[in-house]
Amino acid sequence: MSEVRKPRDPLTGHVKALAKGFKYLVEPNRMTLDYPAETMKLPPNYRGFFTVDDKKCIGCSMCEMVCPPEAITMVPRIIGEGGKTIPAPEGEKEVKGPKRTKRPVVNWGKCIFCYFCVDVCPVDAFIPTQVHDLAFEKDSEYRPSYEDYLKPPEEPYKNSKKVISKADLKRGVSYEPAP
Amino acid sequence: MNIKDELSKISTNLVIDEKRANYKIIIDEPSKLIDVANSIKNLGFDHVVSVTGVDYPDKIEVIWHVSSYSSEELKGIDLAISMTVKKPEPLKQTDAQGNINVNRPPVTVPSLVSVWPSGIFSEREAFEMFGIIFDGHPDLRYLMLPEDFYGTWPLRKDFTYQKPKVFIE
Amino acid sequence: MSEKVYNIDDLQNINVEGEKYIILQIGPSHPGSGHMRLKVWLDGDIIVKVDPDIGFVHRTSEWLSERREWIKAVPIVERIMLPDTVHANLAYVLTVEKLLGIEPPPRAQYLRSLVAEINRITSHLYGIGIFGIFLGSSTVYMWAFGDREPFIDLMEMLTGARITTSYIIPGGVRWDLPNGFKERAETVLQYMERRLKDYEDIWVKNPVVQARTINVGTLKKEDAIRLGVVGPNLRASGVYYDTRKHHPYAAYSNLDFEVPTMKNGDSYDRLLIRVEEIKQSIKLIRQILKDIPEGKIIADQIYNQLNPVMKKNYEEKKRVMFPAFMIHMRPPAGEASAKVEAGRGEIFFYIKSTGDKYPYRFRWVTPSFRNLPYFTHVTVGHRLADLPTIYGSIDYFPPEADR
Repeated sequence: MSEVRKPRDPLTGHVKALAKGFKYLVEPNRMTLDYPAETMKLPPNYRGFFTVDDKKCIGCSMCEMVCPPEAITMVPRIIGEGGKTIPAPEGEKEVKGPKRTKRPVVNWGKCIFCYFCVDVCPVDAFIPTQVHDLAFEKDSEYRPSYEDYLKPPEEPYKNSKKVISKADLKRGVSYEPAP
Repeated sequence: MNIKDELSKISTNLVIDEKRANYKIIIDEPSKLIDVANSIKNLGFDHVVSVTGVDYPDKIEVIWHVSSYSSEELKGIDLAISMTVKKPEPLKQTDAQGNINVNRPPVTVPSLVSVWPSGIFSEREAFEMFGIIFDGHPDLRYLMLPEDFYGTWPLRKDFTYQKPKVFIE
Repeated sequence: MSEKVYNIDDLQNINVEGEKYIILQIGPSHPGSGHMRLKVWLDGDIIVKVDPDIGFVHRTSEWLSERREWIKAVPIVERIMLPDTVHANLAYVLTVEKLLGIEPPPRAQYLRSLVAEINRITSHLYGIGIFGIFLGSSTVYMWAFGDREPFIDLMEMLTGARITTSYIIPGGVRWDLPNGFKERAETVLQYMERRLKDYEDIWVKNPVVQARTINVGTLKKEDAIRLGVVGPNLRASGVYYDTRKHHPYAAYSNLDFEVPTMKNGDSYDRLLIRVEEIKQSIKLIRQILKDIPEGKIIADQIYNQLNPVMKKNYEEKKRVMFPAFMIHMRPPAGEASAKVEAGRGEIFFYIKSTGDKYPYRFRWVTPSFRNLPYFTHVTVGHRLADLPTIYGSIDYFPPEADR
């Protein structure tokens, strides 16, 4: 270790540092993504906004119970007149136990995207997406209404060029058009 | 060196959890604490990892976790020194507005900073969180909380969060 | 370097009363790497006494975790240690596993080590970058933060999130290795090895850096042991101690790696040790990807509780879903402690369970909190201009120290 510690003689040290700096001045190591002209196509397990498949959800409240920031609340379903419980989808057996009377709604202002709710769902009713770059103007938009929440989140910059990130020996990260 | 033998020589109250590799020395007399700590230090345990309390309804357990950097045999061992003190009865006072203020007095234990200086910040933290006064600590001040938290002892189980009152004229 | 030499043991007896000394308040609004205040007593520009005033970012993580279900503490501990999320997550889960008596399968152990080592590299690059900006070099700051990106991308590919991964759960891990991970990791490692040579020229062996760091903030071996400092800073003072070696967890008992130590314990050694540890981590990641065994990534006790839908997901997508056990977990009464070597040093967990659905006592100590004596003991006798060097070199992170 003593060799590493030995101070370099100032001339060599400065010249080497300046030479390296000059090299990167001429040939910079850029890993910039030209957002929003280019947007990333993220890996399939990326944790973005999600919604719930209304047909699959049995209203068991497990997601509400596991949610660490308590962002999920169960709301009564308002499908059908008089708030009747909806029957199981056609061709599927009626699930015994919890009745299909409730469904989860997420407060996006609180959600931390840990996906504990997605993983704890016994019928795998959550539909994850890779959309992560949404911004809301008003406080009320953070808490989508029941109807809003049925729709999947809308991706911003739909017409941008889709790229995927790739490990690059020269630059570290480079971007190429998504397949 | 057999660590179990050496430790049982120091104190007869040695609890060993084989499955979780926990060693715990329980001190029953506060006056013995510094002597036991000194003999543990002479064995090779040279620094304090954590000082904390555990709050029970009628008592507080103070735990020093110590470990070793200098002795090869002891590097893999965690030793807890535990001492339990009784909590004094809380005093209830009624102020002019008719609010009942519960005054929960702190407890006192000897400080081990003179044995292990590395516990100096941890003991300050245990003081503000549990109301444990470390007798002999050179610098027992509040570390993280504001001073007006004195008497509330946030990590005790009977702590209740009170929102600051808002005055509206 | 300094005119007065203070005995390290007499610090408590320094009398700073009177008008002889200037009191300088550094902070509390983000003086360096987070919100904290250093109260500095100066004699001219020689530091006489430093009182670190912490707690500006105290987030009551212990209080919060004692009032929540066991699984909900995972995101809390992660958010306290942002550059070392995986290690905080791992340390907590190890403690819970000790209470539950669950042993994860070998593949999960290797995956834990893998993601921990990737995290260690990002943490050290973060530290080197912050040290750079403390010394006034925005070049190395930009470089180091840029070079975290390929590693964070690796974490994102494996765990689905960039920083707050929540990847490790009691019994195993949540996702298996995706296709193409090994090739990508190899490219990133080769890139990093080449970049480390560039760092050497422009930063580590730069005469300016050497002049500002050598013999500044020296902590001798005996003092380091006595003050109980942790992590790379401890090893820079020459103490051979690494939790991965002495309290083996995850797959570290099967892996072959060295624990680099230095001799002098000054700021320059604390920089060098981080570079050396990045090299060791690169070696470890290669080894893990070569040796990783096949098999389950979740313990049988958890796997058997999965329902058919979850089991199908596990087979098809290599994804572990949570059985209801994760919510209703009630570890048997008892106490357990665990230690994990994070990028900045040793995390210590002590948890007491009463068999209830919440932890009874949740205690954890973070590396930055245990590195606080650097401010009180090491800065004394130096000039004020050396304070940023010492602060930067110990890689102190206030939100982590305050918990």
